[in-house]
Amino acid sequence: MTRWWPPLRAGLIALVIAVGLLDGCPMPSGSEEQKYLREYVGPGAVRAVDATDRVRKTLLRPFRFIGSLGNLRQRWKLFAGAPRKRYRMWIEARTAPTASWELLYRPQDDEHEYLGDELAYRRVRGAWNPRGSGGPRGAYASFATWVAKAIFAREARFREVRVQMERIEIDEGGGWHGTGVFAYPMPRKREAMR
Amino acid sequence: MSRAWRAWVELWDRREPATAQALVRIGVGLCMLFDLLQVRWLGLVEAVWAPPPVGMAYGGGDAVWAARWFGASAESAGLLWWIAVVAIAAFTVGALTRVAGLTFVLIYAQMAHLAPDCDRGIDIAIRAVVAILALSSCHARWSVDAWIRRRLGRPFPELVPAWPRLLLFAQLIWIYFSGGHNKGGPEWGPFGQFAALANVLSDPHFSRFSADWVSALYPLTQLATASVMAFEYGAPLMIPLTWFHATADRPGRLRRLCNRLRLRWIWIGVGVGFHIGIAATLRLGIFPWGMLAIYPVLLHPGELVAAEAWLRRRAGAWLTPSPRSTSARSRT
Repeated sequence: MTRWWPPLRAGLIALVIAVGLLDGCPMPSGSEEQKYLREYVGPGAVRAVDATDRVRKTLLRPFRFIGSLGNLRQRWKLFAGAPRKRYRMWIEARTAPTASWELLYRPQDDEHEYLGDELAYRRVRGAWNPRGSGGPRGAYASFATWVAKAIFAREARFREVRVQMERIEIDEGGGWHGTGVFAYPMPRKREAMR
Repeated sequence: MSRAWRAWVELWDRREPATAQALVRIGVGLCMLFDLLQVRWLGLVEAVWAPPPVGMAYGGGDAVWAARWFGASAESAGLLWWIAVVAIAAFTVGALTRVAGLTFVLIYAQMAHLAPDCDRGIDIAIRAVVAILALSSCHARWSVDAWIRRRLGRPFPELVPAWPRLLLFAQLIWIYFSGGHNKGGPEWGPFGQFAALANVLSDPHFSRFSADWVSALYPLTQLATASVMAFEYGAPLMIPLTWFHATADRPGRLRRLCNRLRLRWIWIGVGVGFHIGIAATLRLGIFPWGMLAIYPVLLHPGELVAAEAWLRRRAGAWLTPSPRSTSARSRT
């Protein structure tokens, strides 16, 4: 092994760690966090955070292509927020515009598990499960189209499919109850799919 | 050259048996392979990686060279899936390991760009791990490459560079620590009564079972929430704890105390319990198993060598009939 390699490698590793830490550095740059900062610390804190974040992003600019090439980042989140206000997806279908909706799928409902394995698969759930307070994800509309197509292909009797999210609340001490209020309705008609 | 820099260079120039790196290669590879095969088994390859209206891959932009080269279609989604599966299978068995690893990372990153909502934290972690291992000698053990090299009379050396394991160690610690300080919701702390895990376990989108049991065990879930936070914020302590363990023969009261209390093993045990608990109660796919597959990097090479020797002895004793059972058989 050449003599120059170990110090060069150690230097490269130090650079990798420094870039990773800079990328993963927790910055309160989200709108919720900024609102909190402005309210409880003052507008100066928001300006300071913004300036620091600009410096961080400038320093990271030369390495951005690596993150893009491997789709890598160093900010890790798992249930970062676990609020009590959550959602429960309903997938319904009906045979005519005036017919009543028939429930096909709803998580944690043993009697309505149509396409249950596919819908519960983690990647598909990633498309339909809303962000905590940020609303539906970018793939939600495409998900509704895909699931409607899948239902229309299997069930010739249905003319319409509707995906929507019931707002639910986790009870204090565990368990949950539905509110009967729905959000993000995404209807799909068979005719429009052709 | 300063003393600190010399120590830094020496740290990353260490060598060790390839056992830990090979175990991570096989474990992470199997998790990913299982997940990709599951997508095919469920008939969801096009649904996940084809563009609308066929699928949900709404991503795009300049970073997606795969879409520019192969076009964005159901067929190209299938092609990307096949390349990823072949690459991760080759990486797992250690055939052309480095090429396979890098190919997997590049292709899987393209799939993530195409379908950003279908790419979760564990996928990013696995890409980071495979990228590091692709630059390592993780194929020096339990691999097709090692077998071929032995047949050619040019076996891998017994000891390989340790830096990939050390870097993976740092990555694992950072994943937990970052996960901890990104948990900004009050439910993760005393102001939210440590209700986070009860909330998550009750969420019908994630829970494996009906939420009825959660209220019966609510205090336990609060304790578990506090433990998760202590575990994640305490992750950086694994660096000195591992150092204390590796240098147990040196003096120091703190070193002796930490080693005597087995704090390092307690942290590892909490991590294993945490992931098994997640696997048992939440539907998060390969997340818990993918994370556990990285855990061999937390062990000292000597511990893995000892564990392997013990397993071989046990397997040998199991496969070779003991003299007593042989004589018993001969009597009958």
